Amino acid sequence: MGTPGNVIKISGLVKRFGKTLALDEFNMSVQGGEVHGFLGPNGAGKSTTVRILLGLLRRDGGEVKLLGGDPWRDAVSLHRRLAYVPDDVKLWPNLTGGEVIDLLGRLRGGLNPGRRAELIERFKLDPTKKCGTYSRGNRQKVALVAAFASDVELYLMDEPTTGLDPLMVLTFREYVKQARDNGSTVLLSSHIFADVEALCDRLTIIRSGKCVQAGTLAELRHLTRTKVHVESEKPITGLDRLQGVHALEQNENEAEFHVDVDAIDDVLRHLVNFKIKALYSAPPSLEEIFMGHYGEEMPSGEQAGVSEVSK
Amino acid sequence: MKTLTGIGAMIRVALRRDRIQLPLWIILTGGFLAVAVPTWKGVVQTEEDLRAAIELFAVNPAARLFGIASGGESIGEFVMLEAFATLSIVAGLMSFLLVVRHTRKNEDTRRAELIGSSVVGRHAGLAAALILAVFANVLLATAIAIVLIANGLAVTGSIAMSLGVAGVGISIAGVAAVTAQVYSTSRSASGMAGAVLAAMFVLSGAGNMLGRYDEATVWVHSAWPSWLSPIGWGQQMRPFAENDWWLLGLSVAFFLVLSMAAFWLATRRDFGMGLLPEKPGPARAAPGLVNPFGLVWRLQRGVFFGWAIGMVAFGVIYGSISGEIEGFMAESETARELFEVIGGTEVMLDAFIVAITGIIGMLLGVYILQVTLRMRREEADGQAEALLATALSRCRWMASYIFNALLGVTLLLFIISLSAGLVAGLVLGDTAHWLGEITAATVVYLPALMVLAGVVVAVFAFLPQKTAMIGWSVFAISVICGPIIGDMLDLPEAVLNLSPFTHIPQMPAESFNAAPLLIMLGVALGLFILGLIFFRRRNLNLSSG
Repeated sequence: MGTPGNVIKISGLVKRFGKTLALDEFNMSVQGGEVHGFLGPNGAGKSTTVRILLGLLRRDGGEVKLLGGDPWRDAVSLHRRLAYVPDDVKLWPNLTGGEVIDLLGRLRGGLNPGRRAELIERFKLDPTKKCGTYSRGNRQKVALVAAFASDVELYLMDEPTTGLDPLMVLTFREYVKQARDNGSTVLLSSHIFADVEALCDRLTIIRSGKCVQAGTLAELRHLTRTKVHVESEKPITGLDRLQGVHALEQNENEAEFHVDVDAIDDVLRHLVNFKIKALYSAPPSLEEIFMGHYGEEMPSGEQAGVSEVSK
Repeated sequence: MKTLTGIGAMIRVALRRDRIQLPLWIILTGGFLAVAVPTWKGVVQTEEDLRAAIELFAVNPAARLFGIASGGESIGEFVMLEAFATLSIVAGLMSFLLVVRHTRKNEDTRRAELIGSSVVGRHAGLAAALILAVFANVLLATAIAIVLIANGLAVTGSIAMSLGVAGVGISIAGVAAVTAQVYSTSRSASGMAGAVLAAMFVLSGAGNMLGRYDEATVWVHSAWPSWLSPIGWGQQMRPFAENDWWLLGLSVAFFLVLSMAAFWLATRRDFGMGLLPEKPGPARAAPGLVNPFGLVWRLQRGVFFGWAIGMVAFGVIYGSISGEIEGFMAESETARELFEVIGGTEVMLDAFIVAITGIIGMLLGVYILQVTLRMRREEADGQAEALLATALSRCRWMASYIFNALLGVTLLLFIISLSAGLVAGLVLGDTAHWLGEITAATVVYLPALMVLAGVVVAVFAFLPQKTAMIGWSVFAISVICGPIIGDMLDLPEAVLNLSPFTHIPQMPAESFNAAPLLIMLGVALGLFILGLIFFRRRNLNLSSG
């Protein structure tokens, strides 16, 4: 079922709500068969993008292709090929979870009864309870079961794990991987780094309606600094004069700093002069990458260099 | 009394949350009476009028379902007859909604957890809700009494009647305090309290229907079921005649016993749980549910069945009164004039049919709004987002609401025609004739109701956020400028023509005329098409995520 090429291709997308510019020349491409992370804080434009992809909102400018079609014009036929899990799902309080799963599945074009039963079992959902009595996590499970029980090419998921307990998050990840193994594509909008780190092949980071970074996790890590902690016999000197060393904190025989990827070699050469006793280094976590784009300390010049990846 | 710690703060929070709705309940009720009482005074201007009007209802067991006159041969007893049951139901609705809102609903939304973890006693929430309910009912009674006294009704009788209404209110508040402990969701708790209120109405009505009418004294002696219902207690107080105050004690005692029971039950259950677990529903959807039409039907079938029951009851009463209508008109000159204005004919039975079908036809506009406005609610709440992200097109989604509204309202028009026609046939003879006459007079209202649906659909497509406001306003204007109120207010023709209801042929007084009906049909279809096209082209108006 894997779709070659771009399943989602967004370029220069603009969306306004009155005077607010929600999406400002936003770009994103999602390739067939990948799990694509879509990261950004609340209000950055994630849900707006997903709703434009679903033809629920109309774009004000730019190009959007979804599964080879126009999400606004071809909404109904495209929706047969995808499943959507909304952020904070609202359901009908007097229908049961089981009824809603069947309803959404059927309207989407049918669901696999065997998978439905398996998913209900694995997500520990009681399908006989009225939706009005479900907690947020349970409502989320209803939408997830309805989505995963349909065999579709594309899954659009907006914050799907909010409200799920840690065990259920693991089950969720298992099914996302299974969907990818079956050749489906998944767009996972989230602000939970662990989910994106565990699942995503590539990711796009959005900020104030603009794409600030895109690529594989490895590429993004490469563009960011490594954290180094070093202990030595001789007092360390001269680090503050080296290019590419940031956030330096040191006393006599101990130092901790962040170093740019292309400066690591120079820094290590410098450090061997002081008889190293211990050295720890860690690649930046996704959270640190993300904070780099939202925190204050990142110089703006570097950000401009980074955003070129998105093109 | 540690279990009541923090009750002052709880009452203040509840008052603040209700600062708009509570005054609205009271003002609207008072406003309704302020309009209605002068109208009733206009209907029964002389003692003969009064006697004729009271006899009309008293001799007819079906009419007694809605109330009995309290005796005393004053305009007050006519107001009791017309208004007591309605006011009781309003007080009941206000009270159980209030109690459930400040008890079970707080647990549903987890607000109570936050409150429960602070310095607040276990029973403070329930006690605050009950105190607020008593307070609200006292205010409501004060408003009612002021309006009655201002209209020149006897002071003692007015106070007795309004306290009777408050008695029903606090009784239901007690019932709701218990159902909020028994059921685990606010829906079920309100639903059960509402069912008890309905049962109270039916019991009082049944007692009156089964009662004995004493012609000499124009007095209905109610049978025992009336004595089982707080609404019955209020009626048996006989305000404006006997003013039996001790019956108020029954309501107060009922309230106190149920409140104590609720406090006791609250200690027997866990937080967030009810004594009865929520009933499980089906794990799979029935085949009828998994299409958009079936879904909308399922979502509003409760509303439909409620209306259907109301239509049957209204039809029975209306059919059965038709037998006495000529006699009543002969006795009451005022009523005769009124019906001539409304009905536009001197044939009293025809005028009566015109007036009643006009009321029903316009009333059913409420049902149209209930169904079609649901579209907007589902869009704002988010269910529409989940649905329209499936392969369901916007047109089919909207069309399923239109079809549901029209099918439902058509069925309701036929249900009341059938029930009224059959009963009128029993009373007057010649069932086929009356059935045909009443059905024709009723069903002609369909095109005007379709126009109303069309207005909502079109507004929803262009101005989604204003749908409810504009929808209800258009309905209100259509009713005010419509055939009954418009005629009574003597509005100019141009203003009357604004209402689609004005253009309905007033059968059987007027003959059938297809032209206005076809035009309205065309307008309705045009509005539907406009709505379908432009809804397809707009952004969904969703909550931001």
